Amino acid sequence: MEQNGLLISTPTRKRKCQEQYEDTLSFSLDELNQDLLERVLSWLPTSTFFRLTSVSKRWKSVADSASFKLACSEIPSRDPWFFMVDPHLNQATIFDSGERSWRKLNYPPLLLQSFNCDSMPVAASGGLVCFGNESGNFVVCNPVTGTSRELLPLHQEAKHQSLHAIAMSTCSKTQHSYKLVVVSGELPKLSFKVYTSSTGCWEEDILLKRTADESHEFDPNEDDAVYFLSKAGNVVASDMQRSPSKQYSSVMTLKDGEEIVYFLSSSGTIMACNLTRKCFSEYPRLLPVFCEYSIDVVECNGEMLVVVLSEFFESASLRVWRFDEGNRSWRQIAAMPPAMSHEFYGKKVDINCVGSGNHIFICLNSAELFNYVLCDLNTNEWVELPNRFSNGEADALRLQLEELQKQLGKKQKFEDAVDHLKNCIALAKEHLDQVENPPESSPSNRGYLFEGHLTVDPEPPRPQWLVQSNLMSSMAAVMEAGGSSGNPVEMGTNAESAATMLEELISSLDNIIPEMLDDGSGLPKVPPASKEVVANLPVITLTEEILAKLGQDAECSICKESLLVNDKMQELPCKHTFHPPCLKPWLDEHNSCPICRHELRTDDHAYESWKEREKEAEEERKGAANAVRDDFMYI
Amino acid sequence: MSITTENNEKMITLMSSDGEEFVVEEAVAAQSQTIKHLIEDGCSTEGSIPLPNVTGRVLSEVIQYCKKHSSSDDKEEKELEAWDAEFVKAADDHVALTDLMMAANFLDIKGLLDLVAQTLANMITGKSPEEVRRMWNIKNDFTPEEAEKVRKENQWAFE
Repeated sequence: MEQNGLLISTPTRKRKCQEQYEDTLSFSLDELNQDLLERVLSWLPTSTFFRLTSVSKRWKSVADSASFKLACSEIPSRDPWFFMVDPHLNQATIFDSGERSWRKLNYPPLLLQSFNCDSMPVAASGGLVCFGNESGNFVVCNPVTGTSRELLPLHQEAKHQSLHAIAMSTCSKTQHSYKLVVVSGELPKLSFKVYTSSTGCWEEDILLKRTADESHEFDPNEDDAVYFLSKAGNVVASDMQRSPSKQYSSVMTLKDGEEIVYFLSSSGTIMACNLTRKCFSEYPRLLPVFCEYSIDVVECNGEMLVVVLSEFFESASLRVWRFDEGNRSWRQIAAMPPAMSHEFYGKKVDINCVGSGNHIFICLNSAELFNYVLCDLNTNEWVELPNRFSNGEADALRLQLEELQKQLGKKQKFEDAVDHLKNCIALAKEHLDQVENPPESSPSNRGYLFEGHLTVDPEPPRPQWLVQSNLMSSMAAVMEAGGSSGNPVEMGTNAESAATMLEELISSLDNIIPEMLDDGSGLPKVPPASKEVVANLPVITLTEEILAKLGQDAECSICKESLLVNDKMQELPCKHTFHPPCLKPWLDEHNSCPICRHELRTDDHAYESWKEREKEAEEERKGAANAVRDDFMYI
Repeated sequence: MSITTENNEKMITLMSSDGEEFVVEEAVAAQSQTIKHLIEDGCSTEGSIPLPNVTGRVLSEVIQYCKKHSSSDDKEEKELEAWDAEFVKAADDHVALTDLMMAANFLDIKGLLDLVAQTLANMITGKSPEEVRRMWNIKNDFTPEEAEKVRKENQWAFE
């Protein structure tokens, strides 16, 4: 501190009386005029501010002051809050990322009334959350203050159209008004409707035109291009069909003055509706067919991103993608460390995400686990958040989910990697079956999650400072799909034909991704591993120590038996181990590890030299863009 | 009071409420919108600019802040942030932050105003209402019934 750097004398500085300083400060905040006090308080985290309204009447009065709201809106950034509702729709929880803690909020009283009791959060912005119920009515609430307002209901005919997206935005300049956008209709005929809080009514329906560059018609059975994640982490196109989307979600962005609403279509693609230009287009499919996956769209820094949790070859991978408009392709921008995402393998995990600034809040839940992860896109840091509740409530939620799981039927166990594809087809079928027979008990798993900065605004029509978005869980989507079609026979037909198609298409897969099927018939047939190499594979005897390293649920991936001390295991160079009798038949026909595809040498010279060439070509294909790839998600 | 700088910058003399004079470069003084306007209006030509609301102790802190911020460009944002944090910590030992805030408000130095406001807010964050009252000499003017009502309204924030 260059205190002597002043050009003129530095005045004598007396330290304040120390003992007084311990307990009280020598100055009082009451000395500040109202304007300055408001300025100070506007910097407080929301929870603290509300706690401190009980300091004095003057402090309490700040909450209602218009200039305080203005001061708050000038605070550059606040730690976001993430808002969730419980399955009974009578309790709201927020994660306060500033205080790193969970808080229960009072549920807006209006939503506890019988005619609104089935309302679920559908969109959020500016500190306000919009709830919608099945009869097409919307209620906008400030979850912090509990104040709410019922919007004029949609027109009768609009209610009956299938709803694709509900998005909300706050006017960034004044923050005194918000609008709600509803996209509905049957593809390819989409339209949107806007509600603005300043006028308090819905505007006329506006038709969205398909952008001209896409000429093909929508057809649920069409051979749409599907995009795979290649070994190098690139997205590769194929012509495969995938199962219906597991989720339904929408976000709104404002870019170059153009408002765009993005949503997940029922077939699992991202649809972009440009409200300014009154047109919409479909983005290329992201990935990966056949694998079970969970997908969600989020908005971060005004940009739409896609989060995908996918499973492949005995591991799970969670990645964040951005769409590159120039190349019309997806680029990976972040990936959860494989060690962390592996935990979610095989657990039917559903992801619900919301974005805020550089952060994405990801809620991963399944029958077995409830995890909350905060991802920082700038640093690619992934932090698991503390548990939501210290008491038994989490267990209650778990029970709910377990019940649901039972109704969904048993999950098929993968016999080994060869059957992986077939199993995926079975799973696809299973998903379709779910659509066919939606479970009776509806409200079980509604993983609604919202995010916001914070709000101290007492009245909903004058929202303050947050950006929020929402997303829905697979079950809601599945149930909705089932409910809206109202025609199980038709659904069944689609289910059957789609599944048949998947089976038919499996052979063409060989041409696209030869690595995937070792006995593929397209490119050079992959020979079995060299007999000599196989003979020389080390056999290890499992000790307590090795078992501990492998983890509790260690099993031989081929026979699925749990591993025991003293089991003899054959170890491949990639460190994956199998019972020798299990591994032998595999290596008699294949040359790679059943788990990770690590290839062993073969006795086939032609193949070896082909592989060499491919490797070189692959190296060339890999650019700087692949810097973030990891070792797991391969096709 | 003849002090020159290497680059012959025009100097401005500021006078605090207790009569202390500070000679600073014009660019430093112009960090304050209030002073900038005074200079533009030609007030600086007739001797020193009187600042009747600011004591010498507070003004010397303010000038420190302005000097730093007039000499740094945007590129050094990180470094400047660290400097700000150190500055406000040291200032807290010398002057009442509320005085500094009022000076920043009067002199219209937005950066300093925000810095002090944020610092004060940070001091409050995490404190209970009782702690805040004691720490900041604030009188509790709620009746017990009123206090209970306010607390109940915001129960969630206490859990």
